Amino acid sequence: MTSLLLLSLTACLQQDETSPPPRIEGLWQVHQVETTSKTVDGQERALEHFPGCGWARQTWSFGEQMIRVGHDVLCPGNSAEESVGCRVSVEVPASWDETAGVWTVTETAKARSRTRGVKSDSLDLPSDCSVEIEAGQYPVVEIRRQSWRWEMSTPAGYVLRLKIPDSDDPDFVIAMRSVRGEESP
Amino acid sequence: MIPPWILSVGSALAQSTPSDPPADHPRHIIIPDPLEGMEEPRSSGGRGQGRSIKRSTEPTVPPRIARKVPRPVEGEVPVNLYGRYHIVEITEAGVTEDYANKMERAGRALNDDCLTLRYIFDFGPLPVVEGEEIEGHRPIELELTRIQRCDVGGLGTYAEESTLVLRPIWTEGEASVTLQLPSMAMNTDYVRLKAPSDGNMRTPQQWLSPTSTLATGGITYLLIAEPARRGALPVLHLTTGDKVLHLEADPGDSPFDQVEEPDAQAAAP
Repeated sequence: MTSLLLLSLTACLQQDETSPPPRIEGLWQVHQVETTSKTVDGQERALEHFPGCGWARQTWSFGEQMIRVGHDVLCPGNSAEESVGCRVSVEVPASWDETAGVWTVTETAKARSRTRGVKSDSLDLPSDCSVEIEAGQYPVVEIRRQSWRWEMSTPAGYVLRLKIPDSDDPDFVIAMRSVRGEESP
Repeated sequence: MIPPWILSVGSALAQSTPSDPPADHPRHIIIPDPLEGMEEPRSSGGRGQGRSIKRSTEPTVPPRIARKVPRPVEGEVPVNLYGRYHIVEITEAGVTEDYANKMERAGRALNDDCLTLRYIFDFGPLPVVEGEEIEGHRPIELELTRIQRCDVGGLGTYAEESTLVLRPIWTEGEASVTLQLPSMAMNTDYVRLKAPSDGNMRTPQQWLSPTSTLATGGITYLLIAEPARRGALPVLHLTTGDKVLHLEADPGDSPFDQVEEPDAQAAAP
């Protein structure tokens, strides 16, 4: 009986060793960013790109042969009652190496957008948004028993800890409440 | 931006049965996007160069009429490629039309909230190497910018600019240069939230803009330049299939080219 269990366990281990690494798919949100010296909160890191804004998140979406990276940002509006949000994303071709567990991006791309009001009643606010993705390899590892599910290394040397997003589309109402120090319902 | 599926449907309608109304019937005005997803620009000099004080907040569309005699496409391989250009005209199926007119007509036909004003190809500045005459410069990065004018309830009337920065692939030929754009896309939208006067944050008002999409579609152009006076940017012609984009130096008069008034308080020590 013992030998049978041992045999089963060995078989399972062997299967794990030979099975391809799990592939990350769908939409994920940056939970934390590991640099060489510290770990930074994902929102804090995203906000570094948008001075003066109160809430931001970075998301990564993995498709069949593409990666899309996006920023969702909420900034103060013209008055204390108002906030303005923007979303920008860029999508590039990518390939998944199922043996190595690595996404490869062949094209570096940057996307940016902005608005300017042309009438007195117009959207004329800090609406500059930008995002970029660097060409290179993005090794991905699945993580268990943590509040994040994946760790992905970037060509720049960071490790992104990715978690299930709070929502697919950003909930700017909740974001606005959190910026104003009010609790969510 | 015109969704690609609408373009496909439009093309199919325009080419369907002989009993259908002609393609220029109002119900069938379908204007394909020159870049299969992107739109227009402005120019003159390098990136951020040569743009001093500019004024008009609302670019006007000159009333040019479609020409049945297509604009001539003549030129040669450019010695250097640099500067900021915008699409002034587009020739398709042998008909040349003002680009801004065409995009406005397309947007109005589809009742879009946003109309494309300009589509820019920014090749950046010509590098300066002291004592050397630069020859054969092809930029590593190309900025594609579309400027739209949007009129959206709750957001008012505003100009929106989307820019994709990409690394094109250049192939030299005897008669032209091949410019290949890598396949990529960007999406943008905006939201405005306003807390109710009673302070109930559960129900803030929200106004959302339409999503702006800019995509290259991995398109390839054959590029030639017309001879130009020394120091002036030559006219460029970019051909793909039966479509030709005619580019001229961007006048730099978009809403985003206006010089910001310095903030007196911020500038104070």
